[in-house]
Amino acid sequence: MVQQELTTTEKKSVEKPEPEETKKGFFYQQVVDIFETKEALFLVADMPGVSNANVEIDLKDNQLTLTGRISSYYSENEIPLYSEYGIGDYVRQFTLADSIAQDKITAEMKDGVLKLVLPKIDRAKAKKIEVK
Amino acid sequence: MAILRWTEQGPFSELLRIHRDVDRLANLFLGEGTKPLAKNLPGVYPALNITADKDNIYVRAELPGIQINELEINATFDTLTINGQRRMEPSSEEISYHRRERKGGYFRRVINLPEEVNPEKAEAKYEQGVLKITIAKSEKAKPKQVAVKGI
Repeated sequence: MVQQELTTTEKKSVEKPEPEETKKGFFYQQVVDIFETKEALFLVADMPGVSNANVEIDLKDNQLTLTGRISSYYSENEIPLYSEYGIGDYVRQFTLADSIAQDKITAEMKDGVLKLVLPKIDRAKAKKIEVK
Repeated sequence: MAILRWTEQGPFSELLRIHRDVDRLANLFLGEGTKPLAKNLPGVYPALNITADKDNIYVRAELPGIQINELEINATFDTLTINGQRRMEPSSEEISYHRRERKGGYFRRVINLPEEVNPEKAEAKYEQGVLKITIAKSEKAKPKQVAVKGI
């Protein structure tokens, strides 16, 4: 891959995304990559500042909701001097296709990056058709 | 490469001060989140948040999914340089992308610190995708309490 210089994209915030969310304020949207292989769909989401314990993956009626809570970002005595990025909980929703085997979804969180593997149901896997 | 000049003067100094106070208040209501003051200078990565307490200056950057051996941090008595790169998984023909919002590449950022520091007393921690650099304020920059003597 060609290396390029990174530039900052402002974090996108959203007001209360779901009606059932009772928390005040706003959420940031995770930046995601979604890609697909023959076997599965992969979802990779950046959620810096979120520990493994504070990730919530909720699946209901094909709606996949990824929530990440921020806790104790600053210590009590710190006074903010300058801020270029905001800090807040993350949430983003995705609609899953019927081709995903919902009971086989696995997730892994490392260094603020959540990686979900969403295997396809056998019926949905592309079969290679040989041309004779 | 942009060097961020630390200044308390200028047309925005008052705004900066107000924001700082508001931000401090907002932090009291934990869990409501904060929004950034500065609109990011184009071409600058990573975005930084700077805080301080009595003894240290703290510089934080959100750098999810980085290998720590790809980070290089240097400090002088008044500047901090963060160099590194963020590698993305290489794409292959087997993979088709639906969304590609995460970015990889190299970065270099130099900032002027708001106060003189002691670069010998600096440490960096990388946790949950957040880099936190702690640098001790230099002794001479710390406020000294002046005792008032009675006659």
